[in-house]
Amino acid sequence: MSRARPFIVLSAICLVWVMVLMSGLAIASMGAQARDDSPGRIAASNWTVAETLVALGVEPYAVSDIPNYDEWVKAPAIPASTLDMGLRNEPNLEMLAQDPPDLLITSALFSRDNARLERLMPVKVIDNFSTDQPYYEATLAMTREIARLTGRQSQAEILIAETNQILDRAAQELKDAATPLYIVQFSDAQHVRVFGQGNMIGTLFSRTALTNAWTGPTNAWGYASIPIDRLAERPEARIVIIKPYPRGVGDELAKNQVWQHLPAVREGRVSYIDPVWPYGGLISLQRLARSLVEVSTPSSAAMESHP
Amino acid sequence: MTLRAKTPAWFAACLALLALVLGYATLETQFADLSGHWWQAIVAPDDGQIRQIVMHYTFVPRLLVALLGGAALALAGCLMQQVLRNPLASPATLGVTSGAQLALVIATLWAPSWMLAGKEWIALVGGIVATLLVFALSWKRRLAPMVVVLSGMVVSLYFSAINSALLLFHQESLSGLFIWGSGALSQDNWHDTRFLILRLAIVVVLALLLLRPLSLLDLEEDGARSLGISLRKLRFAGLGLGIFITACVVSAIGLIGFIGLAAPALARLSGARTLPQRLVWSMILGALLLAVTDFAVQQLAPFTASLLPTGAMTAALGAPLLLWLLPRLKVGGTRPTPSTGLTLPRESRPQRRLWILAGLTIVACALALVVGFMLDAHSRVPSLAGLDDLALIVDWRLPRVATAAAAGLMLALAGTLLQRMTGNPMASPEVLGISAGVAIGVIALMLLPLGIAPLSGSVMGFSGAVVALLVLIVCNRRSGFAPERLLLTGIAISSLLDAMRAIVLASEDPRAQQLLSWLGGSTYYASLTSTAWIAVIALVLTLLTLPLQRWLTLLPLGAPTAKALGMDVDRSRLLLLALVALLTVAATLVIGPLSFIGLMAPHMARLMGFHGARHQLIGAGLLGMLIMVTADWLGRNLFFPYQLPAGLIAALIGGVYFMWGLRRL
Repeated sequence: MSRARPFIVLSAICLVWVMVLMSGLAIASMGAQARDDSPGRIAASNWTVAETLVALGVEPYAVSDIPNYDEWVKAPAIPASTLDMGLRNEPNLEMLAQDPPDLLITSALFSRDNARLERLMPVKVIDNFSTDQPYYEATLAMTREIARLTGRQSQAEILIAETNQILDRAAQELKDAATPLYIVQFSDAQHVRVFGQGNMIGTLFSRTALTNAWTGPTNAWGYASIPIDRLAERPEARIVIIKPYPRGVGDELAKNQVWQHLPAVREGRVSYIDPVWPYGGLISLQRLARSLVEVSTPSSAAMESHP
Repeated sequence: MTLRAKTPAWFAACLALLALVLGYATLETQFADLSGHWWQAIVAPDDGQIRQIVMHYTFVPRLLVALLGGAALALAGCLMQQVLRNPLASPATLGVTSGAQLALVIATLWAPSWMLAGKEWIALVGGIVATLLVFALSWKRRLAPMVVVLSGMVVSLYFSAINSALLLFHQESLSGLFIWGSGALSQDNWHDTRFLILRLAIVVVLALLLLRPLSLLDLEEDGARSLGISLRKLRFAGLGLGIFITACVVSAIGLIGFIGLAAPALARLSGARTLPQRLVWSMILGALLLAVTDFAVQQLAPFTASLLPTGAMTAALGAPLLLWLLPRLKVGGTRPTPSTGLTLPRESRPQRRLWILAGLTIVACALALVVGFMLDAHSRVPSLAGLDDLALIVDWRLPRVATAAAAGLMLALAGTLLQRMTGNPMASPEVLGISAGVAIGVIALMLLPLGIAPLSGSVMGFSGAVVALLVLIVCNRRSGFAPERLLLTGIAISSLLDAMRAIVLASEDPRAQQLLSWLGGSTYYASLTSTAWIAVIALVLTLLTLPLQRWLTLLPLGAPTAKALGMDVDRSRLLLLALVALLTVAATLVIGPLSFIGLMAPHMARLMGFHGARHQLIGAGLLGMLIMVTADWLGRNLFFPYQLPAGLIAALIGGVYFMWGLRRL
């Protein structure tokens, strides 16, 4: 029966797997160890949590996708000693397993199958989106929760007070701002994300006298993707652009006839602000508030040049 | 019924009327404030009036670009189908679109200054490189239809794998390319219109010159040659024209896949017989189809926060249309002639090679378990894991290795069954649409606020697969599961998934990254329990597959021969289909809808000389395991701690081998 031999080999390989798996299950169930439960080393797969940890003076043990954090969130900077644990939706478990942190904080968006991760380390889902609360309240709750887990309650209260102060000052300085404005981020040379309610931009609109020129529908993260020509729907509006541009867009805009003819562009009512993570935490909110004040007050007329 | 009329004029007139109505409605809703000044805004807009400027630079060029792009793609599809004598041929099947996209992604990331020179030129270079690769791979076979389509599929899969890998790492920077990739037609100047009108005019003139020799391709291969036609030159010219105009469209307005396939099919169905008729009516229908879709999309735009990309919407609307058309489509006459099929030397001693393969597979599994990066005081040095790390190996590596192996095995078996059953080298589980059905179910789950539990994932995935299977059966029952019809049904379902994927990616939903990773075939979510299940399922299904070798030996001989030898062809096809579906569902649920293994492993087995049904099955199964395990290891360790999905890497490894194999043909 030599013709049957490959078939035997194949089934033998399959059987070996099953046996290895069974023994694996047995070993894994023995391997669970007791750990002391004061959370010291914290890994964050969500940039907003990472930002908040650093803001509270905690040095994260590991953060996801640090190079892109540096480009899109920018500040506060992640300490050099923090480990990079790979893409945000797939923290590298092989790496974490070798020296597990005391806590992994993840967000609803990036967590699937958390029960499996909990065999490695405690896992908490802390999130300022995916809750019923409005953005600002959710972010305060998130900050306090992270502070409670890390024993930094006093720092958190200071951070919150500071943020309130900055928002109040912004409201004071912007009280005469009458022109509605679009706050946008470019997707490509023809499309922008325009921000509305449901994120920190919505918070700024509700806490200051600024009015949002965009009144259309927005998605769960508080923005809508629209072609540029829809920015002409409110000809009197100002446009504030959050950097960075996706690569190549800056040059293509020069050729874009609609962009060049927008009243805001022709009349020099376009301003640029530094990269800020619109879905971020209190530090991002503070930075956005400062930038907005800077480009909205009369003294900043010079800001209308290109970046 | 209008579709049965002698000329497609009725159909075209209906579409034109629809376009007029929708166009007027769009004008009324978007530019009501300009009412009475429409003509002025189109011809000579007032520079100070932003609304007139918007109308002048967006509405009009957008309509023209839709008409031109639709006509150009239909022309390209028509030429390609004529040259390859295959109703499945389209610009996308030849790798032009993915080549163009890859070139743009690379330029955006590493040479942004080149984009200044005009991104259409970069896309054109990418499309031409992909095409040259396809031609190089099929040159020795005198550009035989089957080999060209096969090479095109491989090149296409290969480039999209690289594309997806880059998109995973640079999602934020490349978000604009998602929009372009899904065919948003937004215009902001007249540049694209001028670009397309000039090139389309040139290509139409050249196509008219080729009309007579191309018509002779309707004859059989030998007949055409006896009339003194150089087949290689003719095919080169015909394909070249189609590819050039496709690259122009892709570079100007993005990926719009369905028109190139559908417009020629619709023209033929509605009564265009000769090649000149088919060309003209394809172009008219293609232009109208794209314009109608684009108007519909513009009507919907004010109601949603997401972009609705026209190219993806064409596919979403086109897939059901194609499914409806299938029972009415005559594909039998245009199947690739068997004389141009793949024939290879028979390996005299396949037995020993199988043992070597089995040995290699075991070694690969062992190495994948033991070798990996170890954390060493924050430096990342690769080292062999000692016995201390048994828990690490068992907990975090074993599930991924075993899942990869099981999925590779099942997909390879499914692909082998499918290719032997249909006698079509383009067949693979994904072409059948089952894995697309699973993926549609899972995407629906991600987008609906149902909570993301693993259980509901499998339920949704399974329902998707069952729906896909039902569609397959309903559309193919009457024809007795004829191979070509089956493949077309599968392609229609897959194009629906592509459309959904493109819409999700273009909507800039932050969940897109998770989706992209799953679609690439990641073993990240494998756990010991899920792996034990999948291993048992793989084992059982493998045992079910092996006794079927008589069917698998007879079916490739063709249905009449098999029937003459006493086989119940319909029943065996249905049973094989069910088995393929089960294998695909099990594999797709754990590792995403990757198609490369199912397409490649059976071919590689044949290239290695495994011809008998049983030897090919086992050889392909072992190869599938070997490639997937290796791919998974590379994906986990290549950019540690960043992880690439195993399916992507498998496509990269398998593709190189396969192209090398094709060269040897």
